[in-house]
Amino acid sequence: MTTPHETRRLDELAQEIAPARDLWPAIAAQIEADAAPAKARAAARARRSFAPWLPWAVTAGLALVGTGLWWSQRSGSALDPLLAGIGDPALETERQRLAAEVPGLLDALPVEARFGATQSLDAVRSARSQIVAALRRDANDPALREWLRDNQQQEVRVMQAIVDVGTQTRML
Amino acid sequence: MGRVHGLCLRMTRRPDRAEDCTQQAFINAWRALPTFEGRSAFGSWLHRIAVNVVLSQRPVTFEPLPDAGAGEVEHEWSLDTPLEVGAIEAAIDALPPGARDVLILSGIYGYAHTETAAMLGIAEGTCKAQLFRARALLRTALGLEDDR
Repeated sequence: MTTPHETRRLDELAQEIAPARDLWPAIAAQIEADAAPAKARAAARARRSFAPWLPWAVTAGLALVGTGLWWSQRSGSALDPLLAGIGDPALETERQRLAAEVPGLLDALPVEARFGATQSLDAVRSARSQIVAALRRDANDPALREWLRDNQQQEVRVMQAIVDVGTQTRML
Repeated sequence: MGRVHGLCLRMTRRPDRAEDCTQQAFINAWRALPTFEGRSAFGSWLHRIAVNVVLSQRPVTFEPLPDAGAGEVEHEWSLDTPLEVGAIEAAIDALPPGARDVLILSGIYGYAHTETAAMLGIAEGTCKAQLFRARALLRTALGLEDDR
């Protein structure tokens, strides 16, 4: 227990001291590096298995358009009000557009590539739900809000990669 | 970010180490995010991770433990003469690490003895004794009268 005087004096000391430099880029780089080996393994699997699975992929891609439509309807649902003020609106629009496009293309990928892509997407979406769950408990926490923005960018990157590879697969 | 960095800076007393510890704390928090159960505020959870990082990077020292009974004694002391914040900061910096850690977490960041002890991995009684010791050393360093 502290005395009123001591408490007052200690409370006068700033609890927040900003670092001299921006620490976020290094933090984001390390988080990205953590995810890199999994992404590299998925990409390697995709490269190895691209040619043998091509005919199957084209057929499967056409056959599973219905799944894609169903997914796109799900992903087009209204944005959670909690998340409305966080992140870049343009990026969020892009995220939703890709989310609508990805399922059909994902199904067009060779099975191993699809497995890797699905794992990446699941990982980033699982992280998103954990961040959102944490935000529901502490909506104004700046670190969580920053992580949600990072996660939004990561999901867009993963989905864009799927779209790029999936589109090439369909063209072949 | 500022609250975590502030804590790291006070515990390490070195800006470069504080920045490293802050970065590592956020990275560790990201990795451990699935384990955050919301039983405590996110800020406290993050602080606990930051304290772990600072302690793990601190060289092991053999600091004499304070008198175990000292923490039981509570007494008033006043601060009649206004003191510069810089003088208080310098006096805190000069405290032995154990006493300083407890004073920072309890006195500046307002954690209860239970929380402070859990963060530092020490017994609650040791935490109280360290706070008593910190206050005594602070009084001496600041040239304050002891009103015991």
